[in-house]
Amino acid sequence: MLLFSASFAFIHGRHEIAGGLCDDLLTTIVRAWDYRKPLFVAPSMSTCIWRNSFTEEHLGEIDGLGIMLIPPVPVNGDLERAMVEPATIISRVKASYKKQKMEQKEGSSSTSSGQV
Amino acid sequence: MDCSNPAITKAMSEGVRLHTVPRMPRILLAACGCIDALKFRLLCQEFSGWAKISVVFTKSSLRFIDTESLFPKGLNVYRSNSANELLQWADIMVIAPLSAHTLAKIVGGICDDLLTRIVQAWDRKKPFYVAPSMHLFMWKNPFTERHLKCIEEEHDITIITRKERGSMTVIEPQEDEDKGEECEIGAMVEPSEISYTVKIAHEIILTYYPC
Repeated sequence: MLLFSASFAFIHGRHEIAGGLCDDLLTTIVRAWDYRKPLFVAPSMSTCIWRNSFTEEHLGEIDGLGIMLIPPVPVNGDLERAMVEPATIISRVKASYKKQKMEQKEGSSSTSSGQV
Repeated sequence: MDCSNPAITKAMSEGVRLHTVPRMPRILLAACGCIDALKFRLLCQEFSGWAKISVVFTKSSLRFIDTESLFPKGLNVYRSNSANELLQWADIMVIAPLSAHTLAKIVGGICDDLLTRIVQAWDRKKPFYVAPSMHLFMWKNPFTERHLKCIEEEHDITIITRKERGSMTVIEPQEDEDKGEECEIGAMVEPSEISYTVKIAHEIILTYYPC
C-alpha cells in the first residue's frame, strides 16, 4: 500500500487540487492519483480564508474524492490556521497505515478460512 | 460516408451555417503542453490540405513545438491578445492535443491566456473539437469523467471520440499496448483521423445545410 502526504502552505494549492488543475509536479501527481490509495492533505492559511465559503466548497470536493484532511490548528489568537505539527501528521499516516494493514490481514484470513 | 462516427452523426442532426459564400473553411488549431504536441506539425499539414488554418499555442506547448522551423510560410501563428480577431475569423476550432490542465481550466472558466480566452468567448453555434491527450492514470482519474461531462452539458464542445458519450463525442486517447501495463499512455488519436473526422463533419454540414 502506498501513502502520499502533502502539506500546502497556501490556499492556491488546495484550489488547484479541487479544480483538477495540474501545472506542476505535485498537482500532476494528485490529478493522476489512484484514490483507492490514501492521500492526506494538511492545509495552512489565515482564519478568514479557512472560514470562507469557497474553502468549504473545495474541502467538500476533496472529501468527495476520498482525500483525508488533517485540519489546521488556530494560532495567534485565532488569526491564523497553522498546519499541524509534523509529528501529528506522521502519527495520523502511521495509524491509517496500520489500520489498513490490519484490515488486509483480517480480509486474507477470512478468505483463507472460508476456503477450508 | 462513415455515418457511424458520432461526430458525423451530430453534424447531420445539428447543422450549422458557417458562412454565406462557399470557400475553404477557416480552422483555428490549438496545441497544449503535452508530449503529443510533437505531432502538431503533422496535424497542421493534414488540415492545410483542405482548410485555411491559424494556430494558437499555450506557453507550455512551446517546449515541444519550434514555431520558427515547423510551419509552412504564410501560416498565422498567434501568441498575443488577438482573441477578437480570431473569434471573427474562425469557422471551426480544434484543440489537439488537449491537456488535462487546459481541460480543467476550460471547466473552471479560467481564462489566463489567449487559448482559454478564445474558448470562453467562442460562439457555440460554430463547431468546436478537442482531442485529449494524457497519461492513462489521468484518463482513468474521476476528474476526467467529471470534466468531460461538464464540457458536454455546459460548453457544447464536440469532443471527438470513438466511444459515444451521450450527445457529445470525444477523440479518446489510445492505450499503447506495445509498451506493457507500466508504460501505457493515453496518447492522442492520430492527426489524420482528427482531420478526417472534422472534414467529413464539415462536408455533411455543407451538404445538408447548404449556404
